[in-house]
Amino acid sequence: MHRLLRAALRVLIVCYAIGILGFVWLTKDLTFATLSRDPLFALYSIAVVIYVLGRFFMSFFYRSTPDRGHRPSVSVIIPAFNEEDGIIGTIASCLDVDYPKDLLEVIVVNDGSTDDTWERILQAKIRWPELYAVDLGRNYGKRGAMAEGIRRARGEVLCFVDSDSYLERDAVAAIVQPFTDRRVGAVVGHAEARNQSTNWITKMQQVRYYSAFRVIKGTESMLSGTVICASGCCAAYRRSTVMPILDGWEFQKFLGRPATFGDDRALTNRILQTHRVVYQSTARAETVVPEKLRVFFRQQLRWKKSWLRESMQVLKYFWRKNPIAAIFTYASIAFPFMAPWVVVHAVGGRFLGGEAGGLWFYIIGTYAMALLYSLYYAFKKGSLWYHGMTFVALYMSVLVFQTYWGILTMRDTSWGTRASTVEHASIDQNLLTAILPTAPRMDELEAVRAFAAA
Amino acid sequence: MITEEFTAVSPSRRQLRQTIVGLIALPLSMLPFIAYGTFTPEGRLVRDRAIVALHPPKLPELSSVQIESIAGSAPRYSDAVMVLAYHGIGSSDAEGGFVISPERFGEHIATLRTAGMNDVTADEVARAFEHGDPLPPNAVMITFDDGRADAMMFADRLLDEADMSATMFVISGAAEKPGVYYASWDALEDYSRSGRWDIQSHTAALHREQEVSDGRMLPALTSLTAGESLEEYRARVRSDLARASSAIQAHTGRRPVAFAYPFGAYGVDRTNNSKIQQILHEEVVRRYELAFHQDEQDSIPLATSAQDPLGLRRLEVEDWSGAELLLRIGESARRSERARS
Repeated sequence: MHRLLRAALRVLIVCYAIGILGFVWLTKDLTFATLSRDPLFALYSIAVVIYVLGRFFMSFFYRSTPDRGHRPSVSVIIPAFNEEDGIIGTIASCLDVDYPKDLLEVIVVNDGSTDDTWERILQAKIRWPELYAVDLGRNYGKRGAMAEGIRRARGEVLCFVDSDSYLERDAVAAIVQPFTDRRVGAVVGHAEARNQSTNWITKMQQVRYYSAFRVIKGTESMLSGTVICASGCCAAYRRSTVMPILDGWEFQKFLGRPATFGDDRALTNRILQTHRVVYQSTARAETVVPEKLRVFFRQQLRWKKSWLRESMQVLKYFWRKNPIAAIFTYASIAFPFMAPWVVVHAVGGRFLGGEAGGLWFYIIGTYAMALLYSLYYAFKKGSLWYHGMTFVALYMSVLVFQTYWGILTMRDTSWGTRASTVEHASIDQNLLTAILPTAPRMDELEAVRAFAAA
Repeated sequence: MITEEFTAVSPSRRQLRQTIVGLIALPLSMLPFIAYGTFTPEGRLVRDRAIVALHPPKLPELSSVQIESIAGSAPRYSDAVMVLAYHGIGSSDAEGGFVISPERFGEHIATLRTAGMNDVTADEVARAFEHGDPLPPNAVMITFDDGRADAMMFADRLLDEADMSATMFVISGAAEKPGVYYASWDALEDYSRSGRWDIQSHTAALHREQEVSDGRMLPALTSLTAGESLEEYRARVRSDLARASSAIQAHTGRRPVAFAYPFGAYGVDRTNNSKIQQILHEEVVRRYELAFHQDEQDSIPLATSAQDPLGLRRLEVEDWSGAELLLRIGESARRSERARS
């Protein structure tokens, strides 16, 4: 019954998608006709349609790297800050992966949490003595915690997992496969929302995550490995590629202020200048996404700011990359700057008089693109697809203005979701506690137990 | 460690439920497209395009009974022209009224052809009226006003199939500003080249109403704006008609010879100065050999060389059946017959 429904849904979706493409084709003359009268609007419409359809078209040719038995040594690094609820689950998912035990090390770095995160880590340490637990002793920021993890790591491949993310059992084996190609410096896995069924906000993000990874990262990956952001929830780096750039990344400054977020984007950006960054759809992870709109907006603003910061670097070197990737990337940088004006223009043209900028045309065009993204999800997953349109509606009404809001508030480097703003500082080894991943002696275990009890 | 949200419902039940909701949401998600194609002018045009692309309008197959009845009621006349005026074809009612369906227009075309009526262009009529060149028997001039994109899109296929031609009175200024309702010059050039469309003048930018000093809204072609002198009015009309003519000549390669008064207003009414009719007549005669309006629909005669060539009358075609159209043409023919005898 369910299978039959799914099949029917898929057939309908394909027909529907063809219908939407037909609609886009029919409106093309309309768009071209407005070129001379309204060049900004028409060019934006044409470019966005080519961009979206081009991405979709290419994404159908994406193939993941098959498991050819490549098993390098891997260090999974989990930076943790105030994650007492989820940290044990994250640690468990990392240790439970199907990967040779002697080739895997899991390093969890507590970044001066003010809650019971460290106690939870110690509990996990009792359960899994092979865990490498590090407590920085004070708060340095996520970047400091990641950097300390990197310095302590022994593995050839460094795999970062956010403290609110969970790896599938085969994720580590999958994520290391692309590294057989010497040109590859980093690999990003596929992430979906773990709490996707909580409410409309998380459902919407689930659809967004899915298509962002499958379509955007998938195509970037195909175009000579040019994934711009190896998202922090599940990403792997070749250790030998990271080490030379570690200091510059750890103490990155922007506009005279320490760069305190967008660590994943910043690291990828540095790797990408010399290496390839690919997407591996079979390396699956789940991540907890914001459940409150306020938190979601703050997260989006933070991402926007790091996107702004890193895009300035991207502008400088991306023309040397795959030309199609370069065109897509430059377009993707231009769109968010144009989009707010196009929205204001479309709405203003309608309500402030003058030649109508085609508000209805703009709305229906946006809707068509949103529907394509959502139907893509529906085809792949079968359910929740209509939440994709919620995301686009929210994007077009609120998030679109974050580009300029982000520029205005660029110097405010607080996290928004994480209540900490810190200056860069080298990790003080005197404050640090490290419990190595050796099978502990009984007395050590007792000490740990006593500490956890206290 | 991590608790599932919906422990009460099994995952497969939930999946099934979500799939069903997804299926129901699918047709609902089409509503915005339907709304766009129904309530917005450009949306209606897109819908019309889709209709033309998926289901091109075709001339109806007439039954032998219909053909016989048409042959029986076909009007017969010579040295005269029946001038028909159409506005919109399709579903757009942006200009308010006078929109007929493509099927109806197809029926009209098929009926006219079966009745043995011969389509003529503005040039042919002008030559006939001015120099006495022969006109084909049962001549009919199919005219459209405004240069609307939807009308041309639908009518073009039908005219092609019937091997007939029509006259389009374009507002040259509207064609220059490519928008949605009006066909752009690019499209008009293509239509003109096809030989099915005779592009003539409907002013450059005077197809609008303006507020005059006493607060009334009057056609811009037949009224003085506040403080405008008659000389200024003459200059305004002259430069507008010059602009329209030169634009049409530049794009189609042919000088327009015919003019249709916007809103059918030529100065006898809907004006605020009694001298306007004379001035307008003088300005129109400088450029055009024929001019059309559509006053007094109850008594439209055939157009002949005996009439004022700048005051020719057109029959505004409504949503009539083919038989009714023939009946109306027949009435006009009889009216002209009576007038002649």
